[in-house]
Amino acid sequence: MKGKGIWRRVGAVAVVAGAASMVLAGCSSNGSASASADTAKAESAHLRIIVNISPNLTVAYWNKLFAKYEKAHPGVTVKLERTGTISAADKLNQDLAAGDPPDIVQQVTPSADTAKLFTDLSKESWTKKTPLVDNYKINGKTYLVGAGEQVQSLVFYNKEAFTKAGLDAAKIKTVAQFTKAMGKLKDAGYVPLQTAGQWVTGSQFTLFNDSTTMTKTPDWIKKRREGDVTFAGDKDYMKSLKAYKSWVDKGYLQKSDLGLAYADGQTNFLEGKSAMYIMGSFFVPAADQAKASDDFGVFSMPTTGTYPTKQFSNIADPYVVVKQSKNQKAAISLVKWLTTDKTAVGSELAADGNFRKGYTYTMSSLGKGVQKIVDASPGGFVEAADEQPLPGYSTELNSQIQSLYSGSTPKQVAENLDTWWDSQTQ
Amino acid sequence: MTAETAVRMPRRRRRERVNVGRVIMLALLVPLMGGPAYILLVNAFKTQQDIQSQPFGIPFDRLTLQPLIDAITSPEYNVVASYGFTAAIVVVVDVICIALAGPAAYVIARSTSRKTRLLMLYFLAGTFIPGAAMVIPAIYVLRTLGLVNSFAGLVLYDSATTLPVSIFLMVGYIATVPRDIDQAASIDGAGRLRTFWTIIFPLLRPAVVTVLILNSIGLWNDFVSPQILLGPSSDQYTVTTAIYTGISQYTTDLTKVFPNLLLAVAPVIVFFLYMQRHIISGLTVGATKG
Amino acid sequence: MGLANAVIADARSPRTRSGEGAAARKRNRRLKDTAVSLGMAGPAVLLYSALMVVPVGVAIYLSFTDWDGFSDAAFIGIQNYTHLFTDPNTTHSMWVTVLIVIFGSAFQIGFGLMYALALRQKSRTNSVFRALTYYPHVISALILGFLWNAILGTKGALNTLLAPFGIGPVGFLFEQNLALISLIAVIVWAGFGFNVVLFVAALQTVPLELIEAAEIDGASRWQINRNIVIPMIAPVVTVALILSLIGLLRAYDIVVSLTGGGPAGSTSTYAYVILAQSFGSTKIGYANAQAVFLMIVSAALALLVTALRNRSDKAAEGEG
Repeated sequence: MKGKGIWRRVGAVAVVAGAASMVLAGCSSNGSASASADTAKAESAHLRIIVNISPNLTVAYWNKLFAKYEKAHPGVTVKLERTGTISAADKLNQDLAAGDPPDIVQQVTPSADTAKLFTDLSKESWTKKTPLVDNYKINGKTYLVGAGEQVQSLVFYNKEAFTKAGLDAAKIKTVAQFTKAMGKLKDAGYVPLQTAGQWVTGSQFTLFNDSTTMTKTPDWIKKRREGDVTFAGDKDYMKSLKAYKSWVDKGYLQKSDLGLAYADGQTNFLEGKSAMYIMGSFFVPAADQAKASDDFGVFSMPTTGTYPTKQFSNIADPYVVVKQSKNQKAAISLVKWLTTDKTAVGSELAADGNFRKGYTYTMSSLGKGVQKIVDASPGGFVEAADEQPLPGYSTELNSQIQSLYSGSTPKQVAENLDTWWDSQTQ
Repeated sequence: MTAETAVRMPRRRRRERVNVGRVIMLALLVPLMGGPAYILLVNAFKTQQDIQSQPFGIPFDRLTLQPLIDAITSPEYNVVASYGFTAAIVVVVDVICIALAGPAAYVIARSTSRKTRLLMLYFLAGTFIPGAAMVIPAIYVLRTLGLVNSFAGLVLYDSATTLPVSIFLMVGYIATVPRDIDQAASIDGAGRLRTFWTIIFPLLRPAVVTVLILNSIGLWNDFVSPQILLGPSSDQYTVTTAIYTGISQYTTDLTKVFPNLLLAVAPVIVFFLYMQRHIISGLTVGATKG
Repeated sequence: MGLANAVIADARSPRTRSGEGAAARKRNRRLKDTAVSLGMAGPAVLLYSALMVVPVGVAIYLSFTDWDGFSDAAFIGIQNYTHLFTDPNTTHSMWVTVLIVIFGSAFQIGFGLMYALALRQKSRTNSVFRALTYYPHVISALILGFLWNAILGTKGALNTLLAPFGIGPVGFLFEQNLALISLIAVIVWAGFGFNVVLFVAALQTVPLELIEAAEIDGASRWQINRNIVIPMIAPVVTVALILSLIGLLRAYDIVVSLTGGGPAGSTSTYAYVILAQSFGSTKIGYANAQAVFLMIVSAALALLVTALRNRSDKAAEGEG
């Protein structure tokens, strides 16, 4: 339940990378035309798809998008499959166990172990033009294609709070400055940093820590897998934990926020009860929707290393085709449409505040702020393929970070993470 | 009646002494047990702002039916729409359960052999099987049978889980029915199956009512088996799975949470109030004998 | 099975001293009887075996493999079982479950007994109060959890009520220890009323003369309850205890809706870990080992309690 969020959101970081790679990609706008051309002749099929449901991407949103596709492709029906409160990956596992998998799944990142479950899309030439496609390749093969990129090494802030506390967002570059700013915000009567329960707690820590760690050591997770580094033995990791713990101790982060759902926490921030919010670019459309984007600003994640950090990026709206699906052709056609069609991609990007070179949509001031950060960043990093943590890690990390609120020390947390990691790879 | 009053009389005086403790105990029940029900009921008719600012209050001038109407007409996770499906599960499982458990209980109850008693033990062992955890392997069995993600699969699985306690209760009851009745029927030329259904079964009414109540409430409230056995492609929701799936969508919107929860409990509460005596005695017997 | 029924049939057709033809007829009838028995009990046995017993076998089999749900499974011996005790998530959930089982059943029985004694007389008021304690029992635990979440949450009804007094927000659901206490409290809240009704029914079978006699002897109310009433309903208390223990060992629905296992995993019960984590991941073999272990523990616990009760029954008989 908690797990999905993290990597989905972390995934959002990949968006950043995606955005960065826009510069290189120089891709295409012709995708849509060819996509609809060949799907039009696809035979009738009944497709089931697991998608990510969030405050931005509602059931109604997806149904509307799929209705467009159905209209253009008579005979094809697309049915959205709900996941309840579990993650897309968990849902897929359940469906596989039940022997009734869907045709397409969104928000599941294949690993070397699970790649065999999905259709190899390497032969499909259109995939080459999709964002971040190379970062997610497994053994040189493409299984996952997305519509855009998300960036996540971002801190959103309440402009009014910053004015009251006499702060300048542009001057917050180091963790020390960030911590000091929180003190001033607290004195000004704000909850300095908004968090929430569910998966949010661990996810925010990941965004905070990994921006520094992965900029410095791009293959950190691979090294952890191989046992070359440990959580407790890594100086940067410990620094992050200690900084986070100090925020908890000083009341910059509120323990009671652990009782809030993701959406509740976000609402608190949007309502001006808290001053800062670590979140991915998908916060932008939420602020837009609340007609409040002008009240908020954004800056790049503070770091103990070089500033600015690379952007935690991930592929946005990533799709895989399930190998067991009997509608391979129709499923691939739909994925092609979802990741290359101008209208579809534009709609997906706008709905979740994502980026992609060659595809534009009207951005709010906040969206442009994110775009600026992306342009200035030295690139992105993506936690996929070799750089993907063990399954279950996000849930465990989330638990451990939450335990910092009730007395665990940074050292205990790091050691517990090591114990957990090693117990999974015995 | 008179005897009872007579017996009670002398105690009345003494009871008055300890009344304070009893009154406090009972007074505590009202907020503790009634409070949640009150919150559920009242907040289903309030606006989001009223729920948040005064969850215990009743702003009479601003009470609204709108949230309830919205929930009833909602196109998604509609709890009311899931009543029918849930009821269908309950009815079909009840029928299968009685149809299978009745004759089996009869055979077991009327046997004097030790081996048949073993059969009872075989069924009783089922009460140790943690249903929730065994749903996982059950999926693979249903898959082999081609029944996965289907109404039939769910209903058969649910029926299987109700058999142990149902058979046990009915065996206990049949044992109290004199054997002479069977013999009389058999002399009249009735087969055993017919003897059971026409002569014995009507005498089992109390046991059958107990079994039906136990099963029906259990099935209506069941969450794990429909959640896991009712696959995604079936697109059917029971009351619990509809609430569960929906709630992740609207956790922050209390004008959806409360009306939906209210709609989910309404049928059971009505049933409970209407059949309270039967339910209580049914569940009590079910527990102590099962 | 067939054998068992044959024996049943045999037992119920006493031999007669009639002639050969009659004997043959008898034999035929006996065979027919067996067939009928088989036909009557067969469907129940078949369904129960297929969907209850066979899955247990499947679970045991899978628990010795590393099956992930899609690849080929390999036997890995008891590795899944040893992992049960080395996997920090699982061991933690065992402790959580043990606490829930101990405190949950103790309070469910304790409050059940207290209120049953207070409400044992037949009266209209009492039956209203009994219904008041009892009604959560007919509601799905999942829904009760969501309701209590709306009451105890950070922005819940109770914290809203306390806020004007400068209290809180109280971490009913976000303080680790308090969340576990809240979970247990809700479990007790939802379950003790069932015991009230159970015990009231039992109390009503206690002969009034016994109590009268004790009163005349000058025994206090507490003495009467302690020495006469409670021992007499001990068998029912045992049953209630077993039901509580087994039920709480499997606590899942209420965890899903009340706390989602959080915060920091402090309310993740064993069953929750099986269904929400292991089953959702690809560790099917491991999930089955967890399930099998749960089954063994619940059977052992039920047998243990029954055995203890039988022993004390015997002891009581010995005294009497």
